[in-house]
Amino acid sequence: MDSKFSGKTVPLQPINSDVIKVPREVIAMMQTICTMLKDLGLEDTEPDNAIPVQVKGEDFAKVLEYCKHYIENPPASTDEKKKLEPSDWDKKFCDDMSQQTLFSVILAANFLDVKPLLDCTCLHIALKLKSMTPEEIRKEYNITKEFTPEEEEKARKEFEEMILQTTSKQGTA
Amino acid sequence: RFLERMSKRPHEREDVSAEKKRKMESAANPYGVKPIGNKYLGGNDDCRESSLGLLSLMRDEWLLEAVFEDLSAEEIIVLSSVSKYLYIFAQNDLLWKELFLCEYGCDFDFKTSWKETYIRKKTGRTEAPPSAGIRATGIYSDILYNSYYCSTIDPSRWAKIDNVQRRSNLSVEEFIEQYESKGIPVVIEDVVQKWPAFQKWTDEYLKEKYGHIKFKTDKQIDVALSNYIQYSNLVVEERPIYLFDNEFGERAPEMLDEYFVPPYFKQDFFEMLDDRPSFRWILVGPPRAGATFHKDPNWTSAWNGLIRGHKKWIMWPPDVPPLGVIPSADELEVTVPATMVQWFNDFYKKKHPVQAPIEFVQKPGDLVFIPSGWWHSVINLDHTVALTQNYVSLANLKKVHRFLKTKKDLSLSVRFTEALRQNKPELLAQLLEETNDLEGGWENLVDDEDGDDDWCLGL
Repeated sequence: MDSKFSGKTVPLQPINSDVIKVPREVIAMMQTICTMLKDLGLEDTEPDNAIPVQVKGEDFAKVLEYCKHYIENPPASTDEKKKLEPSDWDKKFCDDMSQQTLFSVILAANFLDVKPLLDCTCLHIALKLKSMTPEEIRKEYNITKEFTPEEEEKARKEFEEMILQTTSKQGTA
Repeated sequence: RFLERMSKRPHEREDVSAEKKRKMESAANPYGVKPIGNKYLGGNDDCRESSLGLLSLMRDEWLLEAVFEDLSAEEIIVLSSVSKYLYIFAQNDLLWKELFLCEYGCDFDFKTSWKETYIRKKTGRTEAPPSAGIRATGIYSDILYNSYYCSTIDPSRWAKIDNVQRRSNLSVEEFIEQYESKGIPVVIEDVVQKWPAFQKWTDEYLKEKYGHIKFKTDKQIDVALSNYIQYSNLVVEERPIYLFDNEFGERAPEMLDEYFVPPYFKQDFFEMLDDRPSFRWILVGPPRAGATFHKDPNWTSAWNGLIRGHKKWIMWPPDVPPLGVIPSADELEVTVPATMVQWFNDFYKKKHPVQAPIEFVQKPGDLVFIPSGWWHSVINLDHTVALTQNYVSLANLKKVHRFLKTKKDLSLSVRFTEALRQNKPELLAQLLEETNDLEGGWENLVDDEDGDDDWCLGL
């Protein structure tokens, strides 16, 4: 029995899903729901009926999974600078999702206002983008609008020196 | 036909005058970005989905804050060649400002933009790097548009009103009686001209004499004055780095010989302290730099003498917080919009429910008196150089003494009381007598509706 969870829950009903009894500790991470409960005067009492939540069932499940893990394994420090190193669990959590699901989860995290999850998923995307060439990025994210050949040449020339300097610094890369 | 007209760009429309077209063109975003609202006026050319693909599911602010801000210069370049939308994101000058400050700190030889400054430093170029000059259609983004709009907006549009009292040939007694004791702001127009600095402190002189000295800025980095003056004359941004140094007297002692404290402010009880709180600053800054709404610390009064440039001031009395300003209960913390540009954009036109502010443009040679406790905010209209000091005189001694007792850290209160005891025992006696007479708390002191509380000790 995990001591981080008191056992108190609140019933929520995402779209196309059964009612889920969400632990109070997880609710505390979802600012939107917190505010909603506060406005309804339900901070301490359990509501009689499930509260509908405008998030799809499968996305909500992912948010729930993240929050539970976060509560059981709080990060060592909340230092802003450290955020560029995701934990192994965070990395696997994001990698295991398809592109489509990842973006849905980002939108769900934004709607429910779960900042750690939003940071984690956006960081995942940033790290991914860092490691790809422009052509790979276009393919991965289905980006179709490109420059005209002249514009592409102009944009490339604009930064030509810096690219040269980078590659020369990296040597064999 | 209305929609047809509105969907054309301003310079294509027949109903817009030539003068207006010129103004609108110069305000238009150089990359062709428009606010989101424009999306609904024109043809269906919104290219966000195709230009960002799946990334279009992310909001602009996430892309900017969570993605672009974590990238190195090389990574930004790679991303900028993916599509037009990403190219335009990459031109955001604030990204390059952060990159520069992180990598090179205060060592900036500023050219027209942070991007250019960074590239030239990084590559050692001696001329401006080529610009792709890419313009896009179909880019609708409030974040991208506002960023450009707010950094280029001309603040003189908010500087039309001048309702402050202006005086010359003012005696010290008149000043105390008509303004200081009554807590009324005034601009004195014939003092600063007598400072040697008024004639001498051109950019060239300052660079030559003090240029190598590093001064403090509001960004926790020190910048050599020559570099800063160059920056101040060139930069176009919403929230510039502001040179704001309370140690200039120690870093450049000769500056102290080039101005004097005007005769109205010679009495300053904080001088009795061995280690007084910060009390004098040199202020140098570009357009749009300045200070958001605040009250000066410890209930001190202040004066501000402008040597060059122009500043827009807007002020409200101590018991009238400006719109959009939310003080904490003890007024030690204030929630305000992040920049003066934002405050002016969002709140300036709204009528204040209690009273209109005192507002004016301070020009070179003007000396502003800020009575203690007054809310004030300042925005530079152009490149400015000013000197300012805070002080405690008879007019605000009582308020300062009482205020210090309400602070969490009482050490200043203790030291000040002790200094008064040693130097002005009769004043202290009177202060303490009046404290004992007083029933109730601080609220009673500030709630002076009848105006019959005499704040001046009248000695």
